Amino acid sequence: MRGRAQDFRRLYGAGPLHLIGALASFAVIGLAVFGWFEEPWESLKYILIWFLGAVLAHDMVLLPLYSVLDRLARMRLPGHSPAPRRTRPGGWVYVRVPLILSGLILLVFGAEIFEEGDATFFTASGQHQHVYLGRYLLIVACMFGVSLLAFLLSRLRARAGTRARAGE
Amino acid sequence: MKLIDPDRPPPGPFRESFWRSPLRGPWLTSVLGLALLVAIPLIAVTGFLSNAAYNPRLGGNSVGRTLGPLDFYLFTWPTHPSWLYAFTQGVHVTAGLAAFPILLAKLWSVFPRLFEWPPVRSPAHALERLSLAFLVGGALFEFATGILDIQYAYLFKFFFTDAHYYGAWAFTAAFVFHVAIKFTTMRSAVASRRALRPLMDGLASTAPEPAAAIPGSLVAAAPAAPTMSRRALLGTVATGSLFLFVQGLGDSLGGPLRGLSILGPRDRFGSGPNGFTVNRTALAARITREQVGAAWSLELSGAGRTIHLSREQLLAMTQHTYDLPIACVEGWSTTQRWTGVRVRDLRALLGQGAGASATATSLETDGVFSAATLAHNEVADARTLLALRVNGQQLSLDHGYPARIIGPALPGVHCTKWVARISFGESSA
Repeated sequence: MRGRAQDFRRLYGAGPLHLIGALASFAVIGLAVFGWFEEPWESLKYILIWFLGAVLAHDMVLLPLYSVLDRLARMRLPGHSPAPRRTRPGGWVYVRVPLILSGLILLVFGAEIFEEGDATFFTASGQHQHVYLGRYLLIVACMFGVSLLAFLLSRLRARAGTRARAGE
Repeated sequence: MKLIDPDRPPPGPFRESFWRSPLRGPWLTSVLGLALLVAIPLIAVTGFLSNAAYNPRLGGNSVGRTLGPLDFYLFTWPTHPSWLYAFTQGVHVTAGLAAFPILLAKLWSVFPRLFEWPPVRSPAHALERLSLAFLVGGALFEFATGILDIQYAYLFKFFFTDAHYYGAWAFTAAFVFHVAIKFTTMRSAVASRRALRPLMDGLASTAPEPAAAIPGSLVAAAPAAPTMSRRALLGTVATGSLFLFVQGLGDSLGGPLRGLSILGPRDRFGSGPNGFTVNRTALAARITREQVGAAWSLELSGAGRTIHLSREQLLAMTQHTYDLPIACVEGWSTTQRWTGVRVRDLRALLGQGAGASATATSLETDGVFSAATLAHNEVADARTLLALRVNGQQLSLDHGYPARIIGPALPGVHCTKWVARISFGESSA
């Protein structure tokens, strides 16, 4: 009995429960995909494009772009030579955090900020989307402002610490 | 030479030395995974409840979708409490917005796994990777379509409801399998570093997680110097999540708290008693003044009879007033004071039996939701009205003049506006 279980594990790469779980999961996925295939081809085509496109946009554009920007910035910013300098707080984080958050908000609300659905939005709600760009820029400005303050505070604190140590 | 040599990955991302972030590791991934383990089931359950709230088995409520084996409904959507749909849908959209940054961070944390080498180790591994395609693809598809839908940006050229519904099933199935096979890994990875202990580290004491020797552990083999601490990374994710949470919260609570939601897609429209959010304007529905003028009358049919009532006749019937929310699938809600005739009184006029459902049809001809069928419990509920007035005033044209449906725990688009006909029929659900 034990020998057979081990054979299964060796051939399949996991226990039988794993296989049962996988098959159950794929059965439901199959039903869902069949549901999609009930759609007329005109819709189905775009569903498939969006499903694959979302993955490609994320894995092949968004993440690589982030990594490249990160590396470029590290090369240019002072204090980030290959050898770590931990004597003073890193400055890059004060740019990176508001930048990431601005990017995130733009990613989520970009459609309304760029008035992408304005015609539909107007006929639906009687409103226009032109207010959002200004609000977004204000939020971005606030975030960078707070970050700048935090950066100055950390520098002051670091300087005070150095002085205190010098005075000991 | 073998085409796929397990010990010699091709250059680039397939080599472990390519990945340099010192923050990646099982602890970080597990903490983000744990947060999603709370959020995703909440979003999935409220999403499936939203579908159930439409009572898709009734009339044309499935909007053309053929019901399949995945459409099992254990109950008719209740009418108590009246804010039930506002609540479940508010949770769905708000939690969905708040979970999005966590999802992005989680995907970033496991990005090296996409380039695993060798690509397939065993049949079990092959099934896991195939399942991951539906997990990641499904997650991104669901979040992308949901986020665009609340902004009315139909950049995708398919019907949102069907695609989002089936996408949810595919994603949920892949998610449950993923949790089942990763749960113990997550639990031990969180426990191994004493849960939240790494959050105490500032930048100076931020070091790679201890596990670099294990291949595929997500810990960089040749890490770069840290430029931010784990605390700062998770803090950034939490800030983004909190910001989006507040956007959703303000939108779904409405009232004075609506102001919290600076980028929330929907806001009040107009001023005065009729100054609240509109979902579909009379302009969009192509409703003309002539259609709703003196010639308008309500057609009631059921129990083999058809009668017509003018607006004056409706106003002469006993009027009832209730505070009820319009709760939109897009997450926003607005509670107003509605006055009108009970739908069940209209049913009684025809002599139709108590178990009847009611289909309200709009004057509007080409809208997807120009007709909606209310289940027997909704019809029987005293608070389900054919509203003629709101906040003490006549309904505005954009809010459905001369008469609209409003009912407790009813999805917004089932509150049919510019009602032309109500037909009652025996219903099984």
